[in-house]
Amino acid sequence: MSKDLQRKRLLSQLIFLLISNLGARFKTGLCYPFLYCHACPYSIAGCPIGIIEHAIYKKHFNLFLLLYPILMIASLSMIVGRAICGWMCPIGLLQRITSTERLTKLSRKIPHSIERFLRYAKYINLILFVFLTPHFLGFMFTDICPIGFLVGTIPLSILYPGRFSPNEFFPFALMVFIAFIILIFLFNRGWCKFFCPIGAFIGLFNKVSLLRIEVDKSKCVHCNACIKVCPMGIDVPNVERSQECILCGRCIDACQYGAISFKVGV
Amino acid sequence: MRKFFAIQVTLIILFSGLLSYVTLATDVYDRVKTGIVSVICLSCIKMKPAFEIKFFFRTANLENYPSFILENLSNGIIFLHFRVDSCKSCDYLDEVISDIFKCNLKRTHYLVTTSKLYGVNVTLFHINLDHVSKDKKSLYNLFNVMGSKGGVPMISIITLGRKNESVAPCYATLYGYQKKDRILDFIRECSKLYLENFKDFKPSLQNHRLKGDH
Repeated sequence: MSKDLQRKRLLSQLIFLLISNLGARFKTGLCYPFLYCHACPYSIAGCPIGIIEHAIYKKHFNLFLLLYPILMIASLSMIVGRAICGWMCPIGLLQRITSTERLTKLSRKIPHSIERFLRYAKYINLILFVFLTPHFLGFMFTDICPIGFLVGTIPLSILYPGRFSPNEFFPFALMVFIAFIILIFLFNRGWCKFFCPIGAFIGLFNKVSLLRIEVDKSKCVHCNACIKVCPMGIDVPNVERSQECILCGRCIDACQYGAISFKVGV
Repeated sequence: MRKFFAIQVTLIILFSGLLSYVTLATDVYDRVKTGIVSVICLSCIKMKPAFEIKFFFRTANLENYPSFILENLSNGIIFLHFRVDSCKSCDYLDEVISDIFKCNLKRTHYLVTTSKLYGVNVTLFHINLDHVSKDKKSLYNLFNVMGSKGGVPMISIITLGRKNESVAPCYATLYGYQKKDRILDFIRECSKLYLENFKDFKPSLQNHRLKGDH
């Protein structure tokens, strides 16, 4: 049963990775509900952050263009919450591969108070670099986005060697990208936990989404097995509808007493 | 509990209803498809295409040159400048082009102006792809020689070249931010070609000849 759930999740992540990269033949005007760059040569849809930046860039304001990615994410998040991060996002899949027990042990040495503070960075990212600086200064999150570097810059440089040369943001973007790589190897779900602006936005809907994780407190023996396996470091039995929960179901697998389950509805 | 469930369902209906309206009743879907997903924003990939001036006689999508281009070629060379809203390199390039043509491109979506440079009239067409009609947007595909590997900002200069002993319109396209000196070199080269070939140019023959070329 437990292996089944994680196998299904892997299958789901692979399917969404494939769908996200069907754009070699045709492009759509859709918007990804997760962070994935439309600069990828095979992208099929638009990056929600890129679309938001287009809508508000340098004191321009296009209401419908701004609402489009917000409503796309909100509609889906109202139903499945941050399961988008756990089951659909290709960067989530990447982090699933990079997070090894041996390396992520190091990150557990970081004091809880610092880690808790760092988790707010993604909200600062969302407000500052996705909304404020593009609108007032013209400096965008996409100028230094490590996901754009990973799925746009690198593939284009490999596919078309010599056709492109670095622009003025390249050195900064490279530094951010190196930091991103270190982060995802050292921290389990480091990008999702600390920096992903889309994850920050989706997380707000975890409070009201239809799908959620439920802990049956009458069955819970406080063995903390669920806390140990949680990639987001959530205190599962004591926090209901956590904004950090990506509904990966690892806690469900880890609980030998069947106290944790997915629940749809109230 | 029931109240909370009612709120959940109401929010889902509200969000999905609004999303349907935005997708179906406005031009947002098309705008995202043609202006964002199909165009590589060079700012996003933190790169620009390598600098290379190469002249072409046929348009990038093999369509004929629009009549206004041929008409303007009788008067001088044509400088097409494409940008989109959300693009840092486009902002920088706007400043350079404003300086060369002594105009103000800030928050201007479409502008046509002519300046005399290197002894030739240079007509600038500044086009913000996010704010112009489909006709003007289609110009981008005419001169986007790199196709999906191109992007914005993009500059194309249309001048006159010699092909099989006859004079015909030709153009070169540059992508990404360029320094003022490079753009002036580009204009100088195109102006030189124009001055060499202008006396043998017959606009009325051009599109018939191009159709034959296909």
